[in-house]
Amino acid sequence: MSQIAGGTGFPQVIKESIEERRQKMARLPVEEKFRILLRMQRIAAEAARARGGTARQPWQVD
Amino acid sequence: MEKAIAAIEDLVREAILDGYAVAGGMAAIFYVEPVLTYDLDVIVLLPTSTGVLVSLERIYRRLKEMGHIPDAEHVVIGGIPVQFLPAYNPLVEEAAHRCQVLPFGNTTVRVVSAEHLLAIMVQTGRPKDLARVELFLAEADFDRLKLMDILSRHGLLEKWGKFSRKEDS
Repeated sequence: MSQIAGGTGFPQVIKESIEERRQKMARLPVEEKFRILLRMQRIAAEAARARGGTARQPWQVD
Repeated sequence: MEKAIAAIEDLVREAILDGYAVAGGMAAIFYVEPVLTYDLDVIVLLPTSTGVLVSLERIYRRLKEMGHIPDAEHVVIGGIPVQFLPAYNPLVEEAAHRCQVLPFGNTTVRVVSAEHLLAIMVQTGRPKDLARVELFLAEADFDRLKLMDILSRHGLLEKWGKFSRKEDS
């Protein structure tokens, strides 16, 4: 809590939390990371459509 | 992904390819958090008996015979656009020869090592490559001595030094 209240501490808390999450993601099984990649492609396509642009086609895997 | 790998392994069995290794964003996923990519980049070692263009033509023709659809510079295999990149310089050739065989689902995949991926990213030097170098430095398990050896042998130490200095500042 003191980190949050301490002005400069709050960004540090966020930074550490992001880094921790990224480390966790990096250590996931590759098959799980592959599924996340497919989700990222779908989200990117939806976001592009929503702003009226075009996006690369998400992979159509079984 | 397994379908694409199986098709590529078929090309090796049929001696259309001497070898291969997955590179690019998909290879990065084996070492760091998932990064957005849309191509499965595959470095291919081509038989020396034929020229590059003839060999690539054989790859695309054979994959078409197997029922896979060419799409611009890719061939779509099992829903994934695969791009075949002939080993275009000594570093990339070495990366394909010294790749790692890693498990994926019910199969194994030949993947460029983390150290060679880093060296290729430094050599290529596009903004997205340098962003991925940062990811590797933060997240990947790799052998720094092995990386320095690769960078040194391929004349990349200066480029690496510039990048490291930028990282430190």
